[in-house]
Amino acid sequence: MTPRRLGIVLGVLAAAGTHPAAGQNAATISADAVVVTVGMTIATLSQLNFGSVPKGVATAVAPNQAAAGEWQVTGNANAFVNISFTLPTQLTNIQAQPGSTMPIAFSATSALWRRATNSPAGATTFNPSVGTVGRLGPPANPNMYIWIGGTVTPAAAAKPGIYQGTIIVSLSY
Amino acid sequence: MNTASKLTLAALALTVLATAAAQAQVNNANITATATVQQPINVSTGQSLNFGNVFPGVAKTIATTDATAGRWDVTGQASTLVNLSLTLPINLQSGLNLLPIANFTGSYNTANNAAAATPFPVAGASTSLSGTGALFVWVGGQVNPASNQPAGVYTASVTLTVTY
Repeated sequence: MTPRRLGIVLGVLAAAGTHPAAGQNAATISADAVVVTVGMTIATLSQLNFGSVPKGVATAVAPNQAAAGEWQVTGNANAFVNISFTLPTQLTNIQAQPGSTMPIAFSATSALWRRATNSPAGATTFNPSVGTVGRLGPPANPNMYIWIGGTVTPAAAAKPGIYQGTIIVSLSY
Repeated sequence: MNTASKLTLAALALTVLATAAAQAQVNNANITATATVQQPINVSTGQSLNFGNVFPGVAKTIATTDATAGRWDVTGQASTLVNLSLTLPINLQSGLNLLPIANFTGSYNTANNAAAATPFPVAGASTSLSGTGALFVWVGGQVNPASNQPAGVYTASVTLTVTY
Protein backbone atom coordinates (compact mmCIF):
# COMPACT_ATOMS: atom_id res chain seq x y z
CA MET A 1 0.00 0.00 0.00
CA THR A 2 1.34 3.42 -0.81
CA PRO A 3 2.09 5.81 2.04
CA ARG A 4 -0.77 8.05 0.89
CA ARG A 5 -3.33 5.26 0.97
CA LEU A 6 -2.08 4.12 4.34
CA GLY A 7 -2.38 7.65 5.59
CA ILE A 8 -6.00 7.87 4.43
CA VAL A 9 -6.91 4.62 6.14
CA LEU A 10 -5.25 5.68 9.37
CA GLY A 11 -7.08 8.97 9.13
CA VAL A 12 -10.41 7.15 8.85
CA LEU A 13 -9.59 4.96 11.81
CA ALA A 14 -8.54 7.98 13.84
CA ALA A 15 -11.76 9.78 12.99
CA ALA A 16 -13.81 6.80 14.10
CA GLY A 17 -11.90 6.66 17.35
CA THR A 18 -12.54 10.29 18.25
CA HIS A 19 -16.32 10.22 18.05
CA PRO A 20 -17.48 9.41 21.57
CA ALA A 21 -20.38 11.85 21.82
CA ALA A 22 -22.95 9.48 20.35
CA GLY A 23 -21.72 6.76 22.69
CA GLN A 24 -22.65 8.60 25.85
CA ASN A 25 -25.79 10.11 27.28
CA ALA A 26 -27.06 11.18 30.69
CA ALA A 27 -30.30 12.20 32.34
CA THR A 28 -31.15 13.66 35.72
CA ILE A 29 -34.03 12.82 38.00
CA SER A 30 -34.95 14.61 41.22
CA ALA A 31 -34.91 13.15 44.70
CA ASP A 32 -37.68 14.69 46.78
CA ALA A 33 -38.85 14.57 50.38
CA VAL A 34 -41.36 16.56 52.42
CA VAL A 35 -40.42 17.06 56.05
CA VAL A 36 -43.58 17.08 58.15
CA THR A 37 -43.67 18.78 61.54
CA VAL A 38 -47.30 19.90 61.84
CA GLY A 39 -50.39 17.80 62.63
CA MET A 40 -53.69 17.89 60.79
CA THR A 41 -57.13 19.21 61.62
CA ILE A 42 -60.31 18.39 59.73
CA ALA A 43 -63.57 20.28 59.63
CA THR A 44 -66.90 19.30 58.08
CA LEU A 45 -68.05 22.01 55.72
CA SER A 46 -71.26 20.40 54.46
CA GLN A 47 -73.35 17.23 54.74
CA LEU A 48 -74.17 14.92 51.84
CA ASN A 49 -77.81 15.81 51.33
CA PHE A 50 -80.03 13.91 48.87
CA GLY A 51 -83.05 16.01 49.72
CA SER A 52 -86.48 14.54 48.97
CA VAL A 53 -86.27 11.30 47.04
CA PRO A 54 -89.22 9.62 45.31
CA LYS A 55 -90.01 6.01 46.16
CA GLY A 56 -88.61 3.53 43.67
CA VAL A 57 -86.36 6.08 41.98
CA ALA A 58 -82.61 6.16 42.46
CA THR A 59 -81.25 9.60 43.28
CA ALA A 60 -77.62 10.55 42.83
CA VAL A 61 -75.58 13.48 44.08
CA ALA A 62 -72.32 14.06 42.25
CA PRO A 63 -69.32 15.20 44.30
CA ASN A 64 -69.16 18.48 42.43
CA GLN A 65 -72.74 19.42 43.28
CA ALA A 66 -73.65 21.80 46.05
CA ALA A 67 -75.44 18.96 47.87
CA ALA A 68 -72.24 16.89 48.13
CA GLY A 69 -70.52 16.34 51.44
CA GLU A 70 -67.35 18.34 52.00
CA TRP A 71 -64.45 18.47 54.45
CA GLN A 72 -61.59 20.92 54.85
CA VAL A 73 -58.21 19.60 55.99
CA THR A 74 -55.45 21.84 57.31
CA GLY A 75 -51.95 20.66 58.10
CA ASN A 76 -48.29 20.66 57.09
CA ALA A 77 -47.80 22.54 53.84
CA ASN A 78 -47.18 20.32 50.83
CA ALA A 79 -47.48 17.11 52.85
CA PHE A 80 -49.01 14.03 51.27
CA VAL A 81 -52.17 12.74 52.95
CA ASN A 82 -53.64 9.25 52.84
CA ILE A 83 -57.41 9.48 52.48
CA SER A 84 -59.73 6.61 53.29
CA PHE A 85 -63.42 6.29 54.11
CA THR A 86 -65.75 4.20 56.19
CA LEU A 87 -68.83 4.09 54.00
CA PRO A 88 -72.35 3.05 54.91
CA THR A 89 -74.30 0.61 52.76
CA GLN A 90 -77.67 1.89 53.91
CA LEU A 91 -79.33 4.84 55.55
CA THR A 92 -81.72 4.30 58.44
CA ASN A 93 -85.07 5.92 59.00
CA ILE A 94 -84.65 8.00 62.14
CA GLN A 95 -88.26 9.15 62.40
CA ALA A 96 -91.54 7.35 62.48
CA GLN A 97 -90.34 4.10 60.99
CA PRO A 98 -87.23 3.11 62.94
CA GLY A 99 -85.56 0.13 61.40
CA SER A 100 -86.54 1.03 57.84
CA THR A 101 -83.51 1.39 55.64
CA MET A 102 -82.55 2.79 52.27
CA PRO A 103 -79.55 1.48 50.28
CA ILE A 104 -76.74 3.91 49.49
CA ALA A 105 -73.90 3.25 47.11
CA PHE A 106 -70.69 4.95 46.01
CA SER A 107 -69.03 4.65 42.63
CA ALA A 108 -65.45 4.99 41.42
CA THR A 109 -66.11 8.67 40.72
CA SER A 110 -67.98 9.59 43.89
CA ALA A 111 -65.15 11.50 45.56
CA LEU A 112 -62.90 14.46 44.78
CA TRP A 113 -59.90 16.08 46.43
CA ARG A 114 -58.12 19.32 45.72
CA ARG A 115 -55.15 21.20 47.15
CA ALA A 116 -55.55 24.69 48.54
CA THR A 117 -58.63 25.71 46.57
CA ASN A 118 -62.17 25.27 47.85
CA SER A 119 -63.80 24.53 44.50
CA PRO A 120 -64.56 21.09 43.05
CA ALA A 121 -64.03 22.34 39.51
CA GLY A 122 -60.56 21.07 38.69
CA ALA A 123 -60.42 18.66 41.62
CA THR A 124 -59.07 15.10 41.29
CA THR A 125 -61.59 12.26 41.13
CA PHE A 126 -61.07 9.09 43.14
CA ASN A 127 -62.92 6.03 44.35
CA PRO A 128 -63.93 6.45 47.99
CA SER A 129 -64.08 2.69 48.41
CA VAL A 130 -60.39 2.51 47.53
CA GLY A 131 -59.09 5.80 48.90
CA THR A 132 -56.17 7.77 47.52
CA VAL A 133 -53.22 9.97 48.40
CA GLY A 134 -53.96 13.67 48.35
CA ARG A 135 -51.74 16.60 49.11
CA LEU A 136 -52.01 19.73 51.18
CA GLY A 137 -51.47 23.11 49.63
CA PRO A 138 -48.32 25.26 49.75
CA PRO A 139 -47.31 27.35 52.81
CA ALA A 140 -49.62 30.20 51.94
CA ASN A 141 -52.62 27.85 51.96
CA PRO A 142 -51.81 24.47 53.55
CA ASN A 143 -55.33 23.11 53.01
CA MET A 144 -56.97 20.26 51.17
CA TYR A 145 -60.64 19.85 50.35
CA ILE A 146 -62.52 16.58 49.97
CA TRP A 147 -65.96 16.08 48.45
CA ILE A 148 -68.16 13.01 48.35
CA GLY A 149 -71.37 12.15 46.53
CA GLY A 150 -73.35 8.93 46.20
CA THR A 151 -76.58 7.30 45.11
CA VAL A 152 -79.54 6.27 47.22
CA THR A 153 -82.05 3.74 45.95
CA PRO A 154 -85.32 3.92 47.88
CA ALA A 155 -87.57 0.89 47.45
CA ALA A 156 -90.94 1.31 45.86
CA ALA A 157 -92.38 0.51 49.25
CA ALA A 158 -89.98 2.70 51.21
CA LYS A 159 -91.57 4.23 54.24
CA PRO A 160 -91.56 8.01 54.50
CA GLY A 161 -89.24 9.78 56.86
CA ILE A 162 -85.70 11.06 57.24
CA TYR A 163 -82.98 8.53 56.57
CA GLN A 164 -79.46 9.05 57.83
CA GLY A 165 -76.13 7.34 57.81
CA THR A 166 -72.58 8.27 58.74
CA ILE A 167 -69.61 8.69 56.43
CA ILE A 168 -66.26 8.76 58.15
CA VAL A 169 -63.16 10.10 56.42
CA SER A 170 -59.79 9.10 57.88
CA LEU A 171 -56.54 10.91 57.11
CA SER A 172 -52.91 10.16 57.82
CA TYR A 173 -49.55 11.45 56.71
CA MET B 1 26.85 -2.72 -37.28
CA ASN B 2 27.41 -6.44 -37.72
CA THR B 3 24.77 -8.98 -36.88
CA ALA B 4 26.30 -9.98 -33.59
CA SER B 5 26.35 -6.40 -32.41
CA LYS B 6 22.71 -5.90 -33.42
CA LEU B 7 21.66 -8.96 -31.38
CA THR B 8 23.56 -7.73 -28.37
CA LEU B 9 21.87 -4.34 -28.51
CA ALA B 10 18.46 -5.95 -28.94
CA ALA B 11 19.10 -8.22 -25.98
CA LEU B 12 20.27 -5.25 -23.94
CA ALA B 13 17.21 -3.27 -24.96
CA LEU B 14 14.96 -6.14 -23.88
CA THR B 15 16.80 -6.37 -20.63
CA VAL B 16 16.33 -2.66 -20.00
CA LEU B 17 12.69 -2.85 -20.90
CA ALA B 18 12.25 -5.81 -18.65
CA THR B 19 13.94 -3.95 -15.84
CA ALA B 20 11.84 -0.90 -16.43
CA ALA B 21 8.72 -3.03 -16.40
CA ALA B 22 9.78 -4.56 -13.13
CA GLN B 23 10.33 -1.12 -11.59
CA ALA B 24 6.85 0.13 -12.66
CA GLN B 25 5.02 -2.86 -11.21
CA VAL B 26 2.62 -1.87 -8.36
CA ASN B 27 2.31 -4.04 -5.27
CA ASN B 28 -1.18 -3.89 -3.80
CA ALA B 29 -2.06 -5.19 -0.38
CA ASN B 30 -5.59 -4.61 0.76
CA ILE B 31 -6.99 -4.53 4.26
CA THR B 32 -10.62 -4.20 5.19
CA ALA B 33 -11.71 -1.17 7.15
CA THR B 34 -14.88 -2.03 9.04
CA ALA B 35 -17.09 0.29 11.03
CA THR B 36 -20.29 -0.65 12.82
CA VAL B 37 -22.68 2.24 13.14
CA GLN B 38 -24.33 2.00 16.56
CA GLN B 39 -27.54 3.50 17.74
CA PRO B 40 -26.83 6.53 19.93
CA ILE B 41 -27.47 6.02 23.62
CA ASN B 42 -30.49 7.85 24.93
CA VAL B 43 -31.14 8.19 28.64
CA SER B 44 -34.50 9.63 29.65
CA THR B 45 -36.17 10.34 32.94
CA GLY B 46 -38.54 7.62 34.09
CA GLN B 47 -39.62 8.97 37.44
CA SER B 48 -38.25 10.84 40.41
CA LEU B 49 -36.96 9.25 43.60
CA ASN B 50 -39.79 10.28 45.88
CA PHE B 51 -39.53 9.86 49.65
CA GLY B 52 -42.94 11.41 50.27
CA ASN B 53 -43.48 12.55 53.86
CA VAL B 54 -40.62 12.20 56.30
CA PHE B 55 -40.57 13.10 59.97
CA PRO B 56 -37.86 14.74 62.10
CA GLY B 57 -35.52 12.20 63.63
CA VAL B 58 -36.90 9.30 61.59
CA ALA B 59 -34.83 7.93 58.71
CA LYS B 60 -36.76 6.78 55.66
CA THR B 61 -35.56 4.35 53.01
CA ILE B 62 -36.86 3.84 49.50
CA ALA B 63 -35.76 0.53 47.97
CA THR B 64 -35.22 0.09 44.25
CA THR B 65 -38.26 -2.17 44.22
CA ASP B 66 -40.53 0.45 45.80
CA ALA B 67 -43.10 2.18 43.64
CA THR B 68 -41.49 5.57 44.30
CA ALA B 69 -37.91 4.55 43.47
CA GLY B 70 -36.16 6.71 40.89
CA ARG B 71 -36.00 5.30 37.37
CA TRP B 72 -34.28 6.05 34.06
CA ASP B 73 -35.13 4.54 30.68
CA VAL B 74 -32.17 3.80 28.41
CA THR B 75 -32.18 2.94 24.71
CA GLY B 76 -29.29 2.19 22.38
CA GLN B 77 -27.61 -0.48 20.28
CA ALA B 78 -29.19 -3.87 20.83
CA SER B 79 -27.26 -6.39 22.90
CA THR B 80 -24.37 -3.99 23.49
CA LEU B 81 -22.31 -3.57 26.63
CA VAL B 82 -22.79 -0.25 28.42
CA ASN B 83 -21.27 1.35 31.49
CA LEU B 84 -23.50 2.89 34.14
CA SER B 85 -22.30 5.79 36.28
CA LEU B 86 -24.29 7.67 38.92
CA THR B 87 -23.72 11.19 40.20
CA LEU B 88 -25.25 11.28 43.66
CA PRO B 89 -26.06 14.12 46.06
CA ILE B 90 -25.18 14.07 49.75
CA ASN B 91 -28.06 16.35 50.75
CA LEU B 92 -31.51 17.34 49.64
CA GLN B 93 -32.10 21.04 50.00
CA SER B 94 -34.99 23.31 50.96
CA GLY B 95 -33.87 26.89 50.83
CA LEU B 96 -30.86 26.98 53.14
CA ASN B 97 -31.87 23.82 54.99
CA LEU B 98 -30.19 20.50 54.18
CA LEU B 99 -31.51 16.97 54.54
CA PRO B 100 -28.80 14.28 54.39
CA ILE B 101 -29.28 11.47 51.90
CA ALA B 102 -27.13 8.33 51.76
CA ASN B 103 -27.12 4.54 51.36
CA PHE B 104 -28.03 4.68 47.71
CA THR B 105 -28.89 1.43 45.96
CA GLY B 106 -29.13 0.68 42.26
CA SER B 107 -30.54 -2.01 40.01
CA TYR B 108 -31.08 -2.60 36.31
CA ASN B 109 -33.20 -4.78 34.10
CA THR B 110 -33.76 -5.07 30.37
CA ALA B 111 -37.48 -5.11 31.13
CA ASN B 112 -39.41 -2.50 33.08
CA ASN B 113 -39.69 -4.76 36.10
CA ALA B 114 -37.96 -3.51 39.23
CA ALA B 115 -38.85 -6.61 41.23
CA ALA B 116 -36.75 -8.78 38.92
CA ALA B 117 -33.92 -6.28 38.47
CA THR B 118 -30.25 -6.98 39.16
CA PRO B 119 -28.66 -4.93 41.96
CA PHE B 120 -25.44 -3.09 41.13
CA PRO B 121 -23.00 -1.01 43.16
CA VAL B 122 -23.72 2.69 42.80
CA ALA B 123 -19.99 3.28 42.24
CA GLY B 124 -20.61 1.99 38.73
CA ALA B 125 -21.37 -1.13 36.73
CA SER B 126 -21.47 -2.63 33.26
CA THR B 127 -24.31 -4.53 31.66
CA SER B 128 -25.83 -5.14 28.24
CA LEU B 129 -28.80 -3.58 26.56
CA SER B 130 -31.60 -5.93 25.61
CA GLY B 131 -32.11 -7.50 22.20
CA THR B 132 -34.22 -4.47 21.36
CA GLY B 133 -31.72 -2.01 22.86
CA ALA B 134 -33.57 -1.27 26.09
CA LEU B 135 -32.45 -0.96 29.69
CA PHE B 136 -34.17 0.30 32.83
CA VAL B 137 -32.22 1.57 35.82
CA TRP B 138 -33.60 2.18 39.32
CA VAL B 139 -32.16 4.04 42.29
CA GLY B 140 -33.17 4.01 45.94
CA GLY B 141 -31.71 5.71 48.99
CA GLN B 142 -32.21 6.82 52.55
CA VAL B 143 -32.88 10.28 53.96
CA ASN B 144 -31.93 11.02 57.55
CA PRO B 145 -33.80 14.04 58.91
CA ALA B 146 -32.45 15.54 62.12
CA SER B 147 -34.67 15.69 65.19
CA ASN B 148 -34.98 19.44 64.63
CA GLN B 149 -35.29 19.21 60.84
CA PRO B 150 -37.31 22.19 59.60
CA ALA B 151 -40.48 21.50 57.65
CA GLY B 152 -40.28 21.95 53.90
CA VAL B 153 -40.00 20.35 50.49
CA TYR B 154 -36.42 19.14 50.00
CA THR B 155 -35.00 18.24 46.62
CA ALA B 156 -31.75 17.36 44.81
CA SER B 157 -30.63 15.95 41.45
CA VAL B 158 -29.46 12.42 40.70
CA THR B 159 -27.76 11.84 37.34
CA LEU B 160 -27.21 8.61 35.43
CA THR B 161 -24.55 8.58 32.71
CA VAL B 162 -24.43 5.69 30.25
CA THR B 163 -21.54 5.04 27.87
CA TYR B 164 -20.60 2.33 25.37
